[in-house]
This record gives sequence, structure tokens and C-alpha cells, in this order.
Amino acid sequence: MNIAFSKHLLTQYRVFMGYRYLAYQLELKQLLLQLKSFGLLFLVVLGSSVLGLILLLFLGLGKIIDSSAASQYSAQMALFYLLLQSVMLSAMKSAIKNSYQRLFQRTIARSVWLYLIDIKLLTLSNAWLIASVLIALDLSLSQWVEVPHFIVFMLLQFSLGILCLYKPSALGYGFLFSAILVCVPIHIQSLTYHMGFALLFALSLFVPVVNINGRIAVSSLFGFWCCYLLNHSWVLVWRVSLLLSVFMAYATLINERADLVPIFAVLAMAFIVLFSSSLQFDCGRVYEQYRLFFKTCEQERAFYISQFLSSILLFLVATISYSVIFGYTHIVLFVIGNMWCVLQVYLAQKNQRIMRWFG
Amino acid sequence: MIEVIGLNKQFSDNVIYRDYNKVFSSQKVCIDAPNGQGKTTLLMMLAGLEKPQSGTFLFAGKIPKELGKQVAIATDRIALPEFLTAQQIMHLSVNTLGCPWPDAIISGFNFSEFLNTRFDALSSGNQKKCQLILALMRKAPYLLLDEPSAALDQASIQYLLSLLDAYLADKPNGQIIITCHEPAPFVEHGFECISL
Repeated sequence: MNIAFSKHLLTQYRVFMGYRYLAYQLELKQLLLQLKSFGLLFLVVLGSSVLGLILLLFLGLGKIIDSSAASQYSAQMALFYLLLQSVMLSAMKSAIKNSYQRLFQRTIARSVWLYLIDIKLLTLSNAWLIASVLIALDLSLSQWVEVPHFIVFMLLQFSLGILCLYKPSALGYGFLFSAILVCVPIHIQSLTYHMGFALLFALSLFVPVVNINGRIAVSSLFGFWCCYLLNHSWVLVWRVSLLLSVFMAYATLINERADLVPIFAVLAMAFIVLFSSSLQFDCGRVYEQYRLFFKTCEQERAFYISQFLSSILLFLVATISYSVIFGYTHIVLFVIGNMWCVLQVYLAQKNQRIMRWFG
Repeated sequence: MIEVIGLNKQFSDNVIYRDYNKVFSSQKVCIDAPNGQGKTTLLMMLAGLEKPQSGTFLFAGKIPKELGKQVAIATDRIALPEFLTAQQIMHLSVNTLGCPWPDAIISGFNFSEFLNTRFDALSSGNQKKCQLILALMRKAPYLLLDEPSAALDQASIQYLLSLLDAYLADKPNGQIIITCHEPAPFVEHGFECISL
């Protein structure tokens, strides 16, 4: 009787798992299709540097492992990798959890199965963790003894993936606190840094979510866009994270090859233009959605113009930050970048098909 | 009086109106027609929010210069910002249109306690109330309401009817056009029920 029941249970679990894999594949396929549209834009702008970018990612992992020279820099790099991983997993979150059919899942399977398969798919999707594991497997025992912080780093990669699925607010607080930790000018070991991250992310679980949305007075289009960005902070978070990655990569590259600064500067500008102008995909969608409401408020023209401002502002903030951080101000590059950004924003507005990817 | 002349409207191959002519002469009109016949589309076109392929709309014999000031509309087809609270949406409209804050209408609909709720968290009845408040507060001469009683509780329907009873008192050339599948209460309050 018990064996028969267990067999039945196992069959049910397999069927459910089959459903989840299918849903995961379908959603991922959709995501990749949409990514293809963005990929075209990406390839036009930065096509030749794709291979270099992949190599750069592994170079960064190497910097995390080899912390003998500068533990603070290694910790910054580790935190930055965790941020990028979280951005990627946030984009895949809906496919991993099959979020849209979550209630349906609860009607056909036990809760514990849902979480079990969530974790399975999460591990399968976490390319950053897989890359770390591959490197870890290649290390010898003597090397392992020298880099104990790398084990903590991998544990953080796994735990932050879970936070990303179930407690994204803790992820936000954790990154904020950890960013403060890595910016404080103190000299501590890499292992201490990583243990500190783990502690800060664990403490973040207990920080309550602050909702300031209802407290903002929305009396103009400015207030409307502020509220939109506050409520859809994801559209800024992933772009700012990628812009940070551009800055980090730029800092690493000019350290290695100072003679190639002009080339790296052009590349950095191309990335800044790409990421900031892509905000127009989201803003354009908002414009389409609420155009009629603002028309009834006799604000259609102003609303139309206002949709372009967020991406232009993001571009200006990113460019100014870049100039201030690296002390590289090239007026011609800045002007060309500005014109390029306006052109990209215009293209993004025109291309409704690409726009859907960013929803 | 609203007059529709030679209206042609279609969505891809689906023809909604072909050389359609109609005069809405009563001050209070209730359009009753089966689903998909173009009731909401007609209201949207009258409010200037949707364009016909061809046709003319006359308001009191003229094409109004500033349609936005003449016509107020409440319909599900106008998406309200779902991430804002009802109060923020009303505040935005009040500020951009320069209307007074609609205190009386808000309390009449028993909506005060939902002002700080995000629009997407409101029940369908309260979303409808929010749309109605936004349209009614403008005091425009022409009021277009799409399924105004749908999802409303009885007390709110009675309050709406009392508002509509008094709405045209200071608007001699005004007109109220509603669409409704259950016109009985509106007919009792002086609405002329017509089909498309």
C-alpha cells in the first residue's frame, strides 16, 4: 500500500515537474525571442566586442579569487558580480517561478514541490554560479586553502538567487549595506568581507519594506514620472547595474592598457548610449498606455514630450558620472554621444516590436 | 443636441459603422445595444479620443473648438495609471484641469476611505467610482458615461442617479449620453432609451 502510494506520488511529482519544465522553456523562448530584437540593436552598436566582454567576465572572476593584492577591490568585484547575477535572475524570475500560473500550480501540487522545482530551475538558470563552480572544480586543494572566501562567494551566489525569487526587498537593502561596506577605506581580509556580505544580507531579511509611494503628491507630469520610476524601479535598477559594470570594466581595462584609453572611452560611451537610450522602450510603453488619460486632462502634447526626458536624463547623469569618476572629458565624444542617444531614443520610440522586450 | 453625420469606422476588417447618421436630441440618452456593436467606440469618438475613418460630429450644431473642455467621459477604455493611488490620480487631474477638489462627489460615493489605495488594488466597483468622479468633477456640458452602473452597489447607483438628475440644471445646452445594458433605473430618471 505504502509503496503504491509512494509510486503514485512520484508519478504526480514527475508530471508536475514536466509541466514546470515546459512552462520554463516556453517563457525562456519568449524572453530569448525578445532578447533577439534587443540583441540586434546591441550588435549594431557593439557587435565586435562581444567576445571581449565574455573574456572580461572571466577576468573579473579571476580577480575575485585572486585577492592577495587588494582585498577591497576583490570584494567590490564580488559584490558587483552578485549584482549582475541578481539582475539576470530578476529578468528570468517569472520563467523560473512560472509566476503567472502560480495560483494554478497551488491547486495541482503540494507547496513543497513548488519550492523544490523553483530551486532546481534557479540553479539551472544561474549561469554565474555555474561559471564559479566550473572554476572551483579546476582549483587544486592547495589553491582552495588559499581562497576560502570563494566558497562563501559561491554560497552567496546561491542564497542571493533564492532571495531574488522570494524576498527581493532584502536583496535591495543587502546591496545597499554591502556597497557601504566595500566603500569604507579599511583593510580587512577577503574572507571577512564575504562573511560581512553574508551577515548584511541576512540582516536585510528583517528590514521592513518602506512604501513612500502614497506619500508623494502627484500634481504634474514630473510627479507622474517620479512615481512611475519609483514603482517600476526595476527598469532603472538593471540599467544602472549594467552602467556600473561598464564603469568597472573600463577601470580594469585602463589599468591593464593605459595606452588604449581613447578606444575604451569610445566603447564606454557606446554602452552608456545603449543602456540609457533603451529606457525609452519602457517610457514609450507608458506613453501608449496612458496617452488617452492625459488627453482627457488636456496634457497630451506635454506627456508626449515628457516620455523622452527620462532616457536623456539617465544618459546625462551617466556621462557626467563617467567624466567625474575617470576624469576623462572629451567634448566631441560627449556631443556625439548626446546626438547618438537622441537618435537611439527616437529609434526606440519608433520600434514598437523591440519595445515589447522591456515589458 | 449631438448629431453624427456620415460616420465610418472600422477596426481592420471589422466594420463598426458604415455611413452612420444619428441625432441624439434628448438631453438624457441611454444607448442600449448588444455587445460589440460599437457603443463605447461611439462615445470615444464623440470625446475625440478615437478617430473615425470619416464622419462629422456636431455639438449643438457646431464642431467645438476645444472638445476637451466641452466633453467629459468615463470609460474602462481609458487606462488610469494603476501604480498611482486614487487620490494621486484625482490630484493630477484636478491640477492639470484646474477644477476644484471633488469633496462632495467623493463622500457621496463613500469613496474617502479608498483614496489612498493604489488604483490596481481597488475593486472593480471602486475603479468605476474613480472614473465617474474624474468625469463628473469637470462639470463639462456634455457628459458621456460608459456602463456607469456596472459593478456599482445600489447606494452608489442611487447617488449617481441623483447627481445626473441635477447635472444639467446649470447647463441648458448640455447633454448626458450613457451606455447601459440595464437601463430601467435610468429610464425612470428621465433617460430616453435608444438603440444604435
